[in-house]
Amino acid sequence: MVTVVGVAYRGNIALEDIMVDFEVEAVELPNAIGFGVRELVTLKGRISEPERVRLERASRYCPVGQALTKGSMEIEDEIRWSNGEVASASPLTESLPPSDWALPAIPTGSVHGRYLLDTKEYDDEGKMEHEGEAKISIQCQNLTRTSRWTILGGHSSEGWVTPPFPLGHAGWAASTVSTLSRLLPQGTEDADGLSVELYMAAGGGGRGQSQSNAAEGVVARRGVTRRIMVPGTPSTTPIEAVQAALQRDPITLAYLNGGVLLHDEVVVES
Amino acid sequence: MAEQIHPNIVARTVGRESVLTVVGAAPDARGPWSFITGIPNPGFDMVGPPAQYLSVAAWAA
Repeated sequence: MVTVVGVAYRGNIALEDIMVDFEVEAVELPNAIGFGVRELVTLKGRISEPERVRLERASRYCPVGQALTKGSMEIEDEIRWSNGEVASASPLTESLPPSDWALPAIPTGSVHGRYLLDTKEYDDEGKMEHEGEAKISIQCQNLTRTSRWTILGGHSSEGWVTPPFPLGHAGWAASTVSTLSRLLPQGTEDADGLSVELYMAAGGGGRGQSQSNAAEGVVARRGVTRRIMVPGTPSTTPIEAVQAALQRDPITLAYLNGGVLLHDEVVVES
Repeated sequence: MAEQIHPNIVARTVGRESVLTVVGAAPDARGPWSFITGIPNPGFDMVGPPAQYLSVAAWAA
């Protein structure tokens, strides 16, 4: 949302409000990433068709959307065992190595994003400095009930909320740990020894460049190093097993190949 | 990465069914922002959304 808000502001498009809805569902196909989303973006304002198309493109090419649907991430993997040994795990092989375990299916649910209009920030001359914040409501099936969570994301001067791109990487790091905890040979017996660290180089032109890329439909390659700490030694937790798990991690696969988006639509409500 | 001492993001297991992720983990970074995600399992309700939902939430934002 905040990328679209920024693109609209830079392009003098009279965007008054924006909402985003995702339906999340399991996708059970061989070698697929295991889930997909259907996206509906609702724009409010006096927006012409060319302007709608521009904002639609911005929505499709925002940094997080690029990472999940265009395979824009360039990942360098390093594995560290608890005995101190280190090895590079990149690149992951094209073929899918065998694994004795399977990941649990993702529960069906939805993600609704509402833009918080009064969180936009302007400087003394009236120029937008920060696009503001979005309230994100998550709902999904749990074991005994439907569960709901709310988080905030966006850009603010005080840094109260997580910017979207780091928030997306948080999901990736969490996904990696979740997958490894299920698929490594020790299963969940020694899961406490698992952790993941992400190192992202600064640069890429910042928010302004990201918004320009989104507006023009440019895919920007971004590098990230993922350090994976696993228990044991290369004998007890072989590198091949770690790689096989990484190749089944849903967000890793999306980052490498895209494929999350099942359907998307951008509509205007006056 | 060689010149970068502190990671931007750290994630680790908490028990068997949850993951704690911290964004802005470095001392001089903005944050920290902490998130709990759940791992779908047959025994317990998850205390946080599955990790994929956190990524989709970021996409929405």
